Amino acid sequence: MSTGVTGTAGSAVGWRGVASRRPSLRWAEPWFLPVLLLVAWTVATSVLKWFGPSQLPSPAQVLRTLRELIVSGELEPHLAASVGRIVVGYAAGAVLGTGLATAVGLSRTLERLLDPTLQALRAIPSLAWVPFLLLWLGIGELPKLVLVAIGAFFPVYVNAAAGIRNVDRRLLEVGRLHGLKGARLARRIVLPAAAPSLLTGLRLGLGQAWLFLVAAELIAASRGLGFLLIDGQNSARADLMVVSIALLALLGKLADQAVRGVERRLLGWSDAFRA
Amino acid sequence: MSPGPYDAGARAPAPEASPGRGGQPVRLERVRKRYSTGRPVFGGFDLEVEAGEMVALLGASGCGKSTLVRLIAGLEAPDAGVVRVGERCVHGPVDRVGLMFQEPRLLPWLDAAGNVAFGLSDDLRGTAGGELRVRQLLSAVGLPEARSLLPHQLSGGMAQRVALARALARAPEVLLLDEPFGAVDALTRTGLQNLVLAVATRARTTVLLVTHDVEEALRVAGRVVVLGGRPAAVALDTEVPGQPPRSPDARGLGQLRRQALAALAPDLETVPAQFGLGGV
Repeated sequence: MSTGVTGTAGSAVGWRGVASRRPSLRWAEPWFLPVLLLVAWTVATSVLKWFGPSQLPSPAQVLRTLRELIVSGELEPHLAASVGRIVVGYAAGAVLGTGLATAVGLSRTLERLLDPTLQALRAIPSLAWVPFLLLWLGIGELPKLVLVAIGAFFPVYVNAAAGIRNVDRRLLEVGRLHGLKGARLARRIVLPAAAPSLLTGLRLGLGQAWLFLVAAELIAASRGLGFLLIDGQNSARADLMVVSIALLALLGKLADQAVRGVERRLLGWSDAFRA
Repeated sequence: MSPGPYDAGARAPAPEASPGRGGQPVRLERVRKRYSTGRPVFGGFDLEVEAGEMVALLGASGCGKSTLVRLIAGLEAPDAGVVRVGERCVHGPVDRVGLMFQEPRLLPWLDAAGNVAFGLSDDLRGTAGGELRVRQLLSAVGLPEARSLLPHQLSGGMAQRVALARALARAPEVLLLDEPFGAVDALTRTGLQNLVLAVATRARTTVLLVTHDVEEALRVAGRVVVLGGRPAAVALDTEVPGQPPRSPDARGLGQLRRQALAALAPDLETVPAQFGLGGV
């Protein structure tokens, strides 16, 4: 572990100061709070019995339910439905968001034409879309995919567009000096320079995609983790609800880690990016 | 070039690294330029630089030196008049004109080698020949070990040397240097000046060095042009005797230094003698 105080330019000491002097324990620090909560949950449900199983089931009960769902094969279609919707919807929203942001960032005319409208649409709360999409697209897969795509689109668009707008003009000039224009200028200067904002947008968009997914599945679905959640509520099974929430948390976290991995690979050059 | 104290820090470039296309003359004819606010920077400005000449362009801050360089590089278009490099008129940036800015302006996501390779012409980029050229240029600017360092890991002087290597990468016929050595330490500056001299002499590159440092101009340039006034006019245009790099007390420089300083800051002439500045 480098404490890097005496290092030359480039030693990785963040503004929060020199890293902890005992690196051996640092890996455990992020686990401290989850373990504490798990212990408190167990004590409150199994030992002190503050909550009945219909209100808050114990961790052991939740694990048992999860195993039953897996063994009976009941969980798989729900999981597959949700993950599939995220993958397709998020990909569509992210690609569209990045593309439009690039176009708007490179052309003042397109910016004046599109940006005000997009910024206005952004203000519409997610749930407001649901009835309208059901009316227009029916109750099949399409409205759910569209809703997830809308959820992913706006954070990606807004952050990428801001990043592109704020690209250092002096670097753009370096590109122009080397004969770059249009698409080549975008690929070799604009997008790399805007990559930090773009990736922030991609991460926020992913979170928003999960949010919109659950909104869609709560209201109009027969499969998916959101449906499992509402099904648990309707059949008064708190264990089902906790299982779906825990799975949503787990999947969301995994997806976020994946984007972070991409971020770390692409932004290794950044002085500020030292997570 | 005899070795001496003024060669401190000089590093002769590898022979292969020298660009070999020969210089081009640069000509500005009746150039007018004015930004949306304020008085015109140039109102019918003429300047002629011969092929292979090394001209130092001196002037106070804001006198139009940088604008002049940007016009030649094709980053700005004149409102009227013509800028020529060789026989052709300048309509936007071209391969054969290299420019080094005041700041390094390295692309932060590329390592040193990647930044130098960015300057290669399209047909050389990504080829073995291009790879070799990047290696040679990095050695020529004294950074053979820095190829995989990122810009934020480089000191200011190192970054500026990478920027020089990038400007040389496409073997420019005209090399424009816009106050390039202002922010580096004296030893590195001397080394970089010698490097530019060596490369430019070998390849007969035309060099236009913008500076506000009279000593720098007298040390390396074959001709000194001082700009003044607004719209800018040539206040002094004179050859510098002797072979560069010159020592500051070389013969004939004292007179030139007085002339250049007088042209740079005519106000100083009127300072009363008791302040000891009258004669400079």
